[in-house]
Amino acid sequence: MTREIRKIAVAAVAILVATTAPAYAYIDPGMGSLALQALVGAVAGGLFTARLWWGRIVAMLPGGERKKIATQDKSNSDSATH
Amino acid sequence: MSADPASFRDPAGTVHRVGDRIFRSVAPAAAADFETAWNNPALRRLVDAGYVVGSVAVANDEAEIEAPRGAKLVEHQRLPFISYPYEWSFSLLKRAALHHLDLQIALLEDGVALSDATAYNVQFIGVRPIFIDALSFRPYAEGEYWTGHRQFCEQFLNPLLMHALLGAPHNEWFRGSLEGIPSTSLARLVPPSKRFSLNLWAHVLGPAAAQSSGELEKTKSVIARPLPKSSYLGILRQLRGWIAGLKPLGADKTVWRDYSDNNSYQPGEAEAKQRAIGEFARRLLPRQLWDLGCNTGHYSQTALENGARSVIGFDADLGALERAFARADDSKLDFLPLYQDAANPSPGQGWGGEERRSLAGRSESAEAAIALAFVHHIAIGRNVPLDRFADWLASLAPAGIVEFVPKNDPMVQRLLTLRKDIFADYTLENFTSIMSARARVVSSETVTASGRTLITYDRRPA
Repeated sequence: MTREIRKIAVAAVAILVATTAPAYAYIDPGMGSLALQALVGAVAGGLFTARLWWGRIVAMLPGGERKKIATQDKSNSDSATH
Repeated sequence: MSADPASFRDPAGTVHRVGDRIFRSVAPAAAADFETAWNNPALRRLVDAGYVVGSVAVANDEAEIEAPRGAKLVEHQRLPFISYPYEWSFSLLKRAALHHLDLQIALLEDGVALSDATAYNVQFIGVRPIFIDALSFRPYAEGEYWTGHRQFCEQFLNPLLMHALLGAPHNEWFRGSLEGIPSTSLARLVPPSKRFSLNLWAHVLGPAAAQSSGELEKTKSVIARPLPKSSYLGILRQLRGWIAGLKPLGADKTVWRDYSDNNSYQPGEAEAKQRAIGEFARRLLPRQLWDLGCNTGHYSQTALENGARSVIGFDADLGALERAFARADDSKLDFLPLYQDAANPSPGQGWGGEERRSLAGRSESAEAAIALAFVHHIAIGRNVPLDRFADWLASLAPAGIVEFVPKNDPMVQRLLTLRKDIFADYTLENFTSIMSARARVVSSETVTASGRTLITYDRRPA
Protein backbone atom coordinates (compact mmCIF):
# COMPACT_ATOMS: atom_id res chain seq x y z
CA MET A 1 0.00 0.00 0.00
CA THR A 2 2.73 2.46 1.06
CA ARG A 3 4.70 1.54 -2.04
CA GLU A 4 1.67 2.31 -4.23
CA ILE A 5 1.18 5.72 -2.63
CA ARG A 6 4.85 6.44 -3.21
CA LYS A 7 4.47 5.41 -6.85
CA ILE A 8 1.48 7.72 -7.29
CA ALA A 9 3.36 10.57 -5.63
CA VAL A 10 6.37 10.08 -7.93
CA ALA A 11 4.05 9.97 -10.95
CA ALA A 12 2.28 13.14 -9.81
CA VAL A 13 5.56 15.01 -9.43
CA ALA A 14 6.69 13.73 -12.85
CA ILE A 15 3.47 14.99 -14.45
CA LEU A 16 3.78 18.37 -12.73
CA VAL A 17 7.39 18.77 -13.88
CA ALA A 18 6.51 17.64 -17.41
CA THR A 19 3.67 20.16 -17.64
CA THR A 20 5.77 23.08 -16.45
CA ALA A 21 5.10 26.00 -18.76
CA PRO A 22 7.56 26.62 -21.56
CA ALA A 23 9.74 29.75 -21.34
CA TYR A 24 7.76 32.24 -23.41
CA ALA A 25 9.39 35.45 -22.42
CA TYR A 26 11.06 37.68 -24.98
CA ILE A 27 12.01 39.83 -21.99
CA ASP A 28 14.29 38.66 -19.17
CA PRO A 29 11.96 37.80 -16.29
CA GLY A 30 14.80 38.33 -13.78
CA MET A 31 16.07 35.72 -11.36
CA GLY A 32 15.04 37.61 -8.22
CA SER A 33 11.47 38.09 -9.39
CA LEU A 34 10.97 34.44 -10.36
CA ALA A 35 12.63 33.09 -7.22
CA LEU A 36 10.08 34.76 -4.98
CA GLN A 37 6.92 34.23 -7.00
CA ALA A 38 6.25 30.71 -5.73
CA LEU A 39 6.44 31.85 -2.11
CA VAL A 40 4.65 35.18 -2.55
CA GLY A 41 2.03 33.54 -4.77
CA ALA A 42 1.31 30.81 -2.22
CA VAL A 43 0.82 33.39 0.55
CA ALA A 44 -1.13 35.88 -1.57
CA GLY A 45 -3.27 33.15 -3.16
CA GLY A 46 -3.93 31.65 0.27
CA LEU A 47 -4.87 35.02 1.75
CA PHE A 48 -7.25 35.69 -1.11
CA THR A 49 -8.96 32.32 -0.66
CA ALA A 50 -9.14 32.89 3.12
CA ARG A 51 -10.68 36.32 2.58
CA LEU A 52 -13.21 34.83 0.17
CA TRP A 53 -14.22 32.18 2.72
CA TRP A 54 -14.27 34.73 5.53
CA GLY A 55 -16.59 36.89 3.42
CA ARG A 56 -18.89 33.91 2.91
CA ILE A 57 -18.93 33.11 6.62
CA VAL A 58 -19.63 36.76 7.53
CA ALA A 59 -22.39 36.85 4.92
CA MET A 60 -24.07 33.87 6.57
CA LEU A 61 -24.20 35.60 9.96
CA PRO A 62 -27.25 37.71 10.85
CA GLY A 63 -26.94 41.14 9.16
CA GLY A 64 -23.91 39.89 7.23
CA GLU A 65 -25.34 40.22 3.73
CA ARG A 66 -25.59 44.02 3.99
CA LYS A 67 -21.97 44.30 5.09
CA LYS A 68 -20.87 42.17 2.15
CA ILE A 69 -22.70 44.40 -0.36
CA ALA A 70 -21.14 47.53 1.15
CA THR A 71 -17.66 46.03 0.77
CA GLN A 72 -18.35 45.16 -2.87
CA ASP A 73 -19.48 48.72 -3.64
CA LYS A 74 -16.25 50.09 -2.21
CA SER A 75 -14.09 47.81 -4.31
CA ASN A 76 -16.03 48.72 -7.47
CA SER A 77 -15.56 52.45 -6.99
CA ASP A 78 -11.81 51.90 -6.72
CA SER A 79 -11.55 50.36 -10.18
CA ALA A 80 -8.95 51.97 -12.42
CA THR A 81 -11.21 51.83 -15.40
CA HIS A 82 -14.14 53.74 -13.95
CA MET B 1 10.47 51.87 -44.43
CA SER B 2 7.38 52.15 -42.26
CA ALA B 3 8.44 50.31 -39.08
CA ASP B 4 8.00 52.34 -35.90
CA PRO B 5 11.43 52.97 -34.29
CA ALA B 6 10.07 51.81 -30.90
CA SER B 7 8.81 48.48 -32.24
CA PHE B 8 11.67 45.98 -32.33
CA ARG B 9 11.94 44.21 -28.99
CA ASP B 10 9.39 41.48 -29.56
CA PRO B 11 10.12 39.39 -32.68
CA ALA B 12 6.44 38.35 -32.72
CA GLY B 13 5.57 41.46 -34.73
CA THR B 14 6.17 45.06 -35.75
CA VAL B 15 4.18 48.30 -35.67
CA HIS B 16 4.13 50.31 -38.92
CA ARG B 17 3.10 53.90 -39.49
CA VAL B 18 1.79 54.64 -42.96
CA GLY B 19 0.67 58.25 -43.20
CA ASP B 20 -1.99 58.68 -40.56
CA ARG B 21 -2.65 54.97 -40.18
CA ILE B 22 -1.18 52.45 -37.72
CA PHE B 23 -0.68 48.83 -38.76
CA ARG B 24 0.84 45.83 -37.06
CA SER B 25 2.37 42.84 -38.79
CA VAL B 26 2.27 39.58 -36.83
CA ALA B 27 5.08 37.12 -37.63
CA PRO B 28 3.87 33.73 -38.94
CA ALA B 29 5.36 31.96 -35.88
CA ALA B 30 3.24 34.10 -33.54
CA ALA B 31 0.05 34.13 -35.62
CA ALA B 32 -1.60 31.12 -33.96
CA ASP B 33 -1.19 32.51 -30.41
CA PHE B 34 -2.36 35.92 -31.61
CA GLU B 35 -5.51 34.42 -33.16
CA THR B 36 -6.30 32.33 -30.08
CA ALA B 37 -5.90 35.26 -27.69
CA TRP B 38 -7.87 37.66 -29.89
CA ASN B 39 -10.73 35.21 -30.31
CA ASN B 40 -11.10 35.02 -26.53
CA PRO B 41 -14.45 36.55 -25.49
CA ALA B 42 -12.90 38.24 -22.42
CA LEU B 43 -10.41 40.13 -24.60
CA ARG B 44 -13.16 41.07 -27.09
CA ARG B 45 -15.19 42.52 -24.20
CA LEU B 46 -12.21 44.61 -23.04
CA VAL B 47 -11.73 45.95 -26.58
CA ASP B 48 -15.44 46.80 -26.86
CA ALA B 49 -15.25 48.64 -23.52
CA GLY B 50 -12.30 50.73 -24.80
CA TYR B 51 -9.75 49.28 -22.35
CA VAL B 52 -7.64 47.73 -25.11
CA VAL B 53 -6.94 49.20 -28.54
CA GLY B 54 -8.95 47.52 -31.31
CA SER B 55 -7.46 45.51 -34.19
CA VAL B 56 -9.04 44.99 -37.60
CA ALA B 57 -7.54 42.43 -40.01
CA VAL B 58 -6.50 43.99 -43.34
CA ALA B 59 -5.03 42.65 -46.56
CA ASN B 60 -1.40 43.56 -47.12
CA ASP B 61 -1.92 44.83 -50.67
CA GLU B 62 -4.06 47.56 -49.13
CA ALA B 63 -1.35 48.74 -46.77
CA GLU B 64 1.80 48.00 -48.81
CA ILE B 65 3.89 47.21 -45.77
CA GLU B 66 7.27 45.49 -45.76
CA ALA B 67 6.32 42.45 -43.70
CA PRO B 68 7.64 38.88 -43.80
CA ARG B 69 5.91 36.45 -46.20
CA GLY B 70 2.88 34.92 -44.53
CA ALA B 71 2.64 37.63 -41.86
CA LYS B 72 -0.79 38.57 -40.62
CA LEU B 73 -1.69 42.25 -40.80
CA VAL B 74 -4.05 44.27 -38.59
CA GLU B 75 -4.89 47.95 -38.38
CA HIS B 76 -5.25 49.80 -35.06
CA GLN B 77 -7.08 52.96 -34.17
CA ARG B 78 -4.64 55.90 -34.12
CA LEU B 79 -4.25 57.56 -30.72
CA PRO B 80 -4.29 61.35 -30.54
CA PHE B 81 -1.00 61.62 -28.63
CA ILE B 82 1.71 59.29 -27.32
CA SER B 83 3.02 60.11 -23.84
CA TYR B 84 5.66 58.37 -21.74
CA PRO B 85 5.68 57.26 -18.08
CA TYR B 86 8.32 59.86 -17.19
CA GLU B 87 5.81 62.51 -18.29
CA TRP B 88 3.01 61.13 -16.14
CA SER B 89 2.08 62.47 -12.72
CA PHE B 90 1.79 60.03 -9.83
CA SER B 91 -1.95 59.65 -10.46
CA LEU B 92 -1.49 58.88 -14.15
CA LEU B 93 1.21 56.29 -13.45
CA LYS B 94 -0.93 54.74 -10.73
CA ARG B 95 -3.91 54.61 -13.06
CA ALA B 96 -1.79 52.97 -15.76
CA ALA B 97 -0.49 50.41 -13.23
CA LEU B 98 -4.00 49.52 -12.06
CA HIS B 99 -5.19 49.33 -15.66
CA HIS B 100 -2.44 46.84 -16.46
CA LEU B 101 -3.28 44.71 -13.40
CA ASP B 102 -7.03 44.86 -14.03
CA LEU B 103 -6.49 43.59 -17.57
CA GLN B 104 -4.25 40.79 -16.39
CA ILE B 105 -6.70 39.70 -13.69
CA ALA B 106 -9.70 39.80 -16.02
CA LEU B 107 -7.88 37.91 -18.77
CA LEU B 108 -6.02 35.32 -16.70
CA GLU B 109 -9.30 34.01 -15.36
CA ASP B 110 -10.29 33.38 -18.98
CA GLY B 111 -7.01 31.81 -20.05
CA VAL B 112 -5.13 34.75 -21.58
CA ALA B 113 -1.75 35.94 -20.24
CA LEU B 114 0.39 38.98 -21.01
CA SER B 115 3.91 38.41 -22.29
CA ASP B 116 5.29 41.64 -20.82
CA ALA B 117 4.44 44.49 -18.45
CA THR B 118 5.98 47.60 -19.92
CA ALA B 119 4.47 50.94 -18.92
CA TYR B 120 4.93 52.19 -22.50
CA ASN B 121 2.10 49.83 -23.52
CA VAL B 122 -0.43 51.96 -21.65
CA GLN B 123 -1.48 55.25 -23.23
CA PHE B 124 -4.09 57.86 -22.34
CA ILE B 125 -7.02 59.44 -24.15
CA GLY B 126 -7.71 62.34 -21.83
CA VAL B 127 -6.95 60.62 -18.51
CA ARG B 128 -8.61 57.37 -19.61
CA PRO B 129 -6.05 54.56 -19.93
CA ILE B 130 -5.93 52.28 -22.97
CA PHE B 131 -3.65 49.30 -23.54
CA ILE B 132 -2.02 49.51 -26.97
CA ASP B 133 0.06 46.38 -27.52
CA ALA B 134 -2.10 43.80 -29.29
CA LEU B 135 0.83 41.36 -29.31
CA SER B 136 1.20 41.21 -25.54
CA PHE B 137 -1.75 38.81 -25.33
CA ARG B 138 -1.25 35.07 -25.69
CA PRO B 139 -2.84 31.89 -24.33
CA TYR B 140 -2.05 31.18 -20.67
CA ALA B 141 -0.10 27.94 -20.14
CA GLU B 142 -1.04 26.14 -16.91
CA GLY B 143 1.70 26.51 -14.31
CA GLU B 144 3.61 29.35 -15.95
CA TYR B 145 5.25 32.13 -13.95
CA TRP B 146 4.56 35.83 -14.38
CA THR B 147 7.50 36.67 -16.60
CA GLY B 148 6.57 40.37 -16.63
CA HIS B 149 6.71 40.76 -12.84
CA ARG B 150 10.16 42.36 -12.77
CA GLN B 151 9.25 44.70 -15.60
CA PHE B 152 6.02 45.63 -13.83
CA CYS B 153 7.92 46.45 -10.64
CA GLU B 154 10.59 48.48 -12.41
CA GLN B 155 8.23 50.46 -14.63
CA PHE B 156 5.15 50.85 -12.42
CA LEU B 157 5.60 49.83 -8.80
CA ASN B 158 9.09 51.17 -8.00
CA PRO B 159 8.51 54.64 -9.54
CA LEU B 160 5.26 54.88 -7.53
CA LEU B 161 7.05 53.77 -4.36
CA MET B 162 9.76 56.40 -4.86
CA HIS B 163 7.07 59.03 -4.63
CA ALA B 164 4.89 57.34 -1.99
CA LEU B 165 7.63 56.18 0.39
CA LEU B 166 10.47 58.61 -0.23
CA GLY B 167 8.62 61.71 -1.47
CA ALA B 168 10.87 61.73 -4.54
CA PRO B 169 8.97 62.09 -7.85
CA HIS B 170 9.87 59.42 -10.40
CA ASN B 171 9.91 61.68 -13.47
CA GLU B 172 13.54 62.75 -13.86
CA TRP B 173 14.90 59.40 -12.75
CA PHE B 174 12.63 57.42 -15.06
CA ARG B 175 13.57 59.67 -17.96
CA GLY B 176 17.21 58.87 -17.34
CA SER B 177 16.52 55.15 -16.94
CA LEU B 178 14.05 54.20 -19.68
CA GLU B 179 13.54 50.65 -18.43
CA GLY B 180 12.36 51.97 -15.06
CA ILE B 181 13.75 52.05 -11.52
CA PRO B 182 15.68 48.83 -10.73
CA SER B 183 14.55 47.07 -7.55
CA THR B 184 18.19 46.74 -6.50
CA SER B 185 18.54 50.55 -6.55
CA LEU B 186 15.25 51.21 -4.76
CA ALA B 187 16.13 48.60 -2.11
CA ARG B 188 19.24 50.63 -1.23
CA LEU B 189 17.26 53.85 -0.93
CA VAL B 190 14.44 52.72 1.37
CA PRO B 191 15.24 53.89 4.95
CA PRO B 192 15.17 51.30 7.78
CA SER B 193 11.96 52.81 9.22
CA LYS B 194 10.07 52.02 6.00
CA ARG B 195 11.30 48.45 5.58
CA PHE B 196 8.71 46.80 7.84
CA SER B 197 6.32 45.91 5.06
CA LEU B 198 5.49 42.46 3.77
CA ASN B 199 4.46 43.92 0.41
CA LEU B 200 7.81 45.68 0.11
CA TRP B 201 9.66 42.47 0.91
CA ALA B 202 7.55 40.45 -1.51
CA HIS B 203 8.03 42.71 -4.52
CA VAL B 204 11.12 44.86 -3.99
CA LEU B 205 13.47 43.89 -1.16
CA GLY B 206 13.13 40.10 -1.57
CA PRO B 207 13.58 40.03 -5.36
CA ALA B 208 16.46 42.53 -5.07
CA ALA B 209 18.21 40.30 -2.51
CA ALA B 210 17.61 37.16 -4.61
CA GLN B 211 18.85 38.98 -7.71
CA SER B 212 22.03 40.05 -5.93
CA SER B 213 22.67 36.55 -4.57
CA GLY B 214 23.07 35.33 -8.17
CA GLU B 215 22.00 31.74 -7.42
CA LEU B 216 20.79 30.82 -10.88
CA GLU B 217 20.65 27.05 -10.31
CA LYS B 218 18.49 27.51 -7.20
CA THR B 219 16.09 29.73 -9.15
CA LYS B 220 15.92 27.14 -11.92
CA SER B 221 14.95 24.46 -9.39
CA VAL B 222 12.28 26.77 -7.90
CA ILE B 223 10.63 27.49 -11.25
CA ALA B 224 10.76 23.82 -12.25
CA ARG B 225 7.65 23.55 -10.07
CA PRO B 226 4.54 24.99 -11.72
CA LEU B 227 3.03 28.16 -10.26
CA PRO B 228 -0.64 27.46 -9.54
CA LYS B 229 -3.06 29.84 -11.23
CA SER B 230 -4.45 30.75 -7.81
CA SER B 231 -0.96 31.92 -6.78
CA TYR B 232 -0.52 33.91 -10.00
CA LEU B 233 -3.88 35.61 -9.42
CA GLY B 234 -3.02 36.09 -5.76
CA ILE B 235 0.12 38.06 -6.67
CA LEU B 236 -1.82 40.25 -9.11
CA ARG B 237 -4.62 40.96 -6.63
CA GLN B 238 -2.23 41.66 -3.76
CA LEU B 239 -0.28 44.13 -5.90
CA ARG B 240 -3.50 45.76 -7.04
CA GLY B 241 -4.71 46.29 -3.48
CA TRP B 242 -1.35 47.72 -2.41
CA ILE B 243 -1.01 50.12 -5.36
CA ALA B 244 -4.64 51.31 -5.07
CA GLY B 245 -3.80 52.62 -1.58
CA LEU B 246 -0.56 54.46 -2.50
CA LYS B 247 -0.48 58.27 -2.29
CA PRO B 248 2.27 60.70 -3.32
CA LEU B 249 4.19 62.06 -0.36
CA GLY B 250 4.37 65.88 -0.33
CA ALA B 251 2.38 66.59 -3.52
CA ASP B 252 0.02 68.77 -1.48
CA LYS B 253 2.81 71.23 -0.70
CA THR B 254 4.21 72.26 -4.10
CA VAL B 255 4.69 75.94 -5.05
CA TRP B 256 2.14 76.32 -7.85
CA ARG B 257 -0.52 73.91 -6.66
CA ASP B 258 -2.78 76.64 -5.25
CA TYR B 259 -1.95 79.30 -7.84
CA SER B 260 -5.40 79.28 -9.42
CA ASP B 261 -6.96 80.06 -6.01
CA ASN B 262 -4.23 82.39 -4.80
CA ASN B 263 -2.83 84.72 -7.50
CA SER B 264 -2.28 88.38 -8.25
CA TYR B 265 -5.35 88.98 -10.44
CA GLN B 266 -7.77 91.83 -9.72
CA PRO B 267 -11.52 91.12 -9.97
CA GLY B 268 -12.57 90.75 -13.61
CA GLU B 269 -9.06 90.19 -14.96
CA ALA B 270 -9.21 86.40 -14.98
CA GLU B 271 -12.60 86.64 -16.74
CA ALA B 272 -11.08 88.81 -19.51
CA LYS B 273 -8.41 86.19 -20.06
CA GLN B 274 -10.98 83.43 -20.05
CA ARG B 275 -13.12 85.27 -22.61
CA ALA B 276 -10.12 85.65 -24.94
CA ILE B 277 -9.25 81.93 -24.71
CA GLY B 278 -12.90 81.03 -25.35
CA GLU B 279 -13.02 83.22 -28.47
CA PHE B 280 -9.74 81.78 -29.74
CA ALA B 281 -10.98 78.19 -29.29
CA ARG B 282 -14.30 78.94 -30.98
CA ARG B 283 -12.53 80.53 -33.96
CA LEU B 284 -9.97 77.76 -34.50
CA LEU B 285 -11.83 74.67 -33.23
CA PRO B 286 -8.53 72.80 -32.85
CA ARG B 287 -8.60 69.00 -32.73
CA GLN B 288 -5.66 69.21 -30.32
CA LEU B 289 -4.55 72.24 -28.35
CA TRP B 290 -1.38 72.37 -26.25
CA ASP B 291 -1.54 74.31 -22.99
CA LEU B 292 2.04 75.22 -22.02
CA GLY B 293 2.23 75.89 -18.29
CA CYS B 294 -1.28 74.48 -17.82
CA ASN B 295 -1.14 74.63 -13.99
CA THR B 296 -4.40 73.04 -12.74
CA GLY B 297 -5.99 73.17 -16.20
CA HIS B 298 -8.37 76.11 -15.68
CA TYR B 299 -7.82 77.55 -19.18
CA SER B 300 -7.54 74.08 -20.73
CA GLN B 301 -11.09 73.55 -19.56
CA THR B 302 -12.14 76.94 -20.99
CA ALA B 303 -10.69 75.92 -24.38
CA LEU B 304 -12.47 72.55 -24.23
CA GLU B 305 -15.79 74.16 -23.33
CA ASN B 306 -15.44 76.46 -26.34
CA GLY B 307 -14.71 74.03 -29.14
CA ALA B 308 -11.20 72.60 -28.64
CA ARG B 309 -11.67 68.85 -29.09
CA SER B 310 -8.76 67.82 -26.85
CA VAL B 311 -6.03 69.48 -24.80
CA ILE B 312 -2.57 68.21 -23.89
CA GLY B 313 -1.33 70.27 -20.93
CA PHE B 314 2.26 70.61 -19.74
CA ASP B 315 3.57 71.82 -16.42
CA ALA B 316 6.62 71.28 -14.23
CA ASP B 317 4.72 71.46 -10.93
CA LEU B 318 3.55 68.01 -9.88
CA GLY B 319 1.10 69.33 -7.26
CA ALA B 320 -0.65 71.45 -9.89
CA LEU B 321 -0.65 68.42 -12.24
CA GLU B 322 -2.41 66.34 -9.58
CA ARG B 323 -5.16 68.94 -9.42
CA ALA B 324 -5.30 69.07 -13.22
CA PHE B 325 -5.69 65.28 -13.26
CA ALA B 326 -8.57 65.53 -10.77
CA ARG B 327 -10.21 68.24 -12.90
CA ALA B 328 -9.95 66.11 -16.07
CA ASP B 329 -11.23 63.06 -14.23
CA ASP B 330 -14.09 64.73 -12.33
CA SER B 331 -15.38 66.74 -15.31
CA LYS B 332 -14.70 63.94 -17.85
CA LEU B 333 -12.55 66.25 -19.98
CA ASP B 334 -10.46 65.17 -22.97
CA PHE B 335 -7.51 66.75 -21.20
CA LEU B 336 -4.17 65.06 -20.53
CA PRO B 337 -1.94 67.03 -18.11
CA LEU B 338 1.72 65.95 -18.40
CA TYR B 339 4.97 66.72 -16.61
CA GLN B 340 7.36 68.75 -18.71
CA ASP B 341 10.11 71.23 -17.99
CA ALA B 342 9.97 73.54 -21.01
CA ALA B 343 13.62 74.53 -20.53
CA ASN B 344 14.61 70.86 -20.72
CA PRO B 345 11.84 69.08 -22.63
CA SER B 346 11.67 65.31 -23.26
CA PRO B 347 14.42 64.39 -25.74
CA GLY B 348 14.48 61.61 -28.33
CA GLN B 349 15.78 58.60 -26.41
CA GLY B 350 16.41 54.87 -26.47
CA TRP B 351 17.92 52.94 -29.36
CA GLY B 352 19.15 55.29 -32.07
CA GLY B 353 17.81 58.20 -30.02
CA GLU B 354 14.40 57.65 -31.59
CA GLU B 355 12.70 54.87 -29.65
CA ARG B 356 10.97 57.43 -27.41
CA ARG B 357 10.21 60.59 -29.32
CA SER B 358 11.12 64.11 -28.29
CA LEU B 359 8.38 66.53 -27.30
CA ALA B 360 9.01 68.63 -30.43
CA GLY B 361 8.85 65.45 -32.53
CA ARG B 362 5.33 64.81 -31.26
CA SER B 363 4.05 68.33 -31.94
CA GLU B 364 2.71 67.57 -35.43
CA SER B 365 -0.68 66.84 -33.84
CA ALA B 366 -0.85 70.24 -32.09
CA GLU B 367 -3.14 72.55 -34.06
CA ALA B 368 -3.01 75.39 -31.54
CA ALA B 369 -1.13 76.39 -28.40
CA ILE B 370 -1.72 78.64 -25.42
CA ALA B 371 1.08 79.84 -23.15
CA LEU B 372 -0.45 81.86 -20.31
CA ALA B 373 1.60 83.34 -17.44
CA PHE B 374 4.49 81.30 -18.78
CA VAL B 375 7.01 83.44 -20.69
CA HIS B 376 8.52 85.03 -17.55
CA HIS B 377 9.33 81.63 -16.05
CA ILE B 378 11.39 80.78 -19.13
CA ALA B 379 12.81 84.20 -20.07
CA ILE B 380 13.57 85.42 -16.54
CA GLY B 381 13.41 82.27 -14.40
CA ARG B 382 15.64 80.30 -16.78
CA ASN B 383 17.48 83.11 -18.65
CA VAL B 384 16.25 81.95 -22.09
CA PRO B 385 16.46 84.88 -24.57
CA LEU B 386 13.03 86.05 -25.81
CA ASP B 387 13.82 85.33 -29.47
CA ARG B 388 14.72 81.71 -28.69
CA PHE B 389 11.55 81.35 -26.66
CA ALA B 390 9.53 82.73 -29.60
CA ASP B 391 11.26 80.32 -32.04
CA TRP B 392 10.35 77.37 -29.84
CA LEU B 393 6.77 78.49 -29.25
CA ALA B 394 6.06 79.21 -32.92
CA SER B 395 7.55 75.83 -33.93
CA LEU B 396 5.15 73.83 -31.75
CA ALA B 397 1.82 74.83 -33.26
CA PRO B 398 0.72 76.96 -36.23
CA ALA B 399 -1.41 79.31 -34.13
CA GLY B 400 -1.72 80.34 -30.53
CA ILE B 401 -2.03 82.83 -27.73
CA VAL B 402 0.91 83.87 -25.62
CA GLU B 403 0.54 86.07 -22.58
CA PHE B 404 3.28 88.62 -22.02
CA VAL B 405 3.76 89.33 -18.31
CA PRO B 406 5.51 92.72 -17.90
CA LYS B 407 8.35 93.37 -15.51
CA ASN B 408 6.24 95.43 -13.09
CA ASP B 409 3.83 92.49 -12.57
CA PRO B 410 4.02 91.13 -8.99
CA MET B 411 4.83 87.61 -10.26
CA VAL B 412 7.83 88.88 -12.26
CA GLN B 413 8.90 91.08 -9.36
CA ARG B 414 8.93 87.96 -7.20
CA LEU B 415 11.29 86.25 -9.63
CA LEU B 416 13.60 89.28 -9.54
CA THR B 417 13.55 89.80 -5.76
CA LEU B 418 16.88 88.16 -5.03
CA ARG B 419 18.66 88.73 -8.31
CA LYS B 420 20.01 91.40 -10.59
CA ASP B 421 17.73 92.53 -13.42
CA ILE B 422 19.78 91.58 -16.48
CA PHE B 423 16.73 91.57 -18.75
CA ALA B 424 16.78 94.98 -20.42
CA ASP B 425 15.09 93.69 -23.59
CA TYR B 426 12.23 92.03 -21.67
CA THR B 427 9.54 94.46 -22.85
CA LEU B 428 6.17 94.08 -24.53
CA GLU B 429 7.36 96.12 -27.55
CA ASN B 430 10.37 93.91 -28.07
CA PHE B 431 8.42 90.67 -27.58
CA THR B 432 5.69 91.82 -30.00
CA SER B 433 8.27 92.63 -32.62
CA ILE B 434 10.00 89.24 -32.08
CA MET B 435 6.67 87.40 -32.45
CA SER B 436 5.79 89.44 -35.60
CA ALA B 437 8.99 88.19 -37.23
CA ARG B 438 7.80 84.60 -36.78
CA ALA B 439 4.04 84.79 -37.28
CA ARG B 440 1.20 87.14 -38.04
CA VAL B 441 0.14 88.95 -34.85
CA VAL B 442 -3.64 88.67 -35.14
CA SER B 443 -4.44 90.69 -32.03
CA SER B 444 -2.90 92.11 -28.89
CA GLU B 445 -5.14 92.67 -25.87
CA THR B 446 -4.15 94.03 -22.46
CA VAL B 447 -6.06 92.08 -19.84
CA THR B 448 -4.77 93.27 -16.45
CA ALA B 449 -4.05 96.56 -14.70
CA SER B 450 -0.38 95.50 -14.43
CA GLY B 451 -0.26 95.35 -18.25
CA ARG B 452 -0.40 91.62 -18.94
CA THR B 453 -1.07 91.29 -22.67
CA LEU B 454 -2.45 88.41 -24.73
CA ILE B 455 -0.80 88.18 -28.15
CA THR B 456 -2.70 86.02 -30.62
CA TYR B 457 -0.48 84.77 -33.44
CA ASP B 458 -0.90 82.65 -36.55
CA ARG B 459 1.88 81.56 -38.87
CA ARG B 460 -0.38 80.15 -41.58
CA PRO B 461 -1.05 82.30 -44.70
CA ALA B 462 -3.92 84.76 -44.03
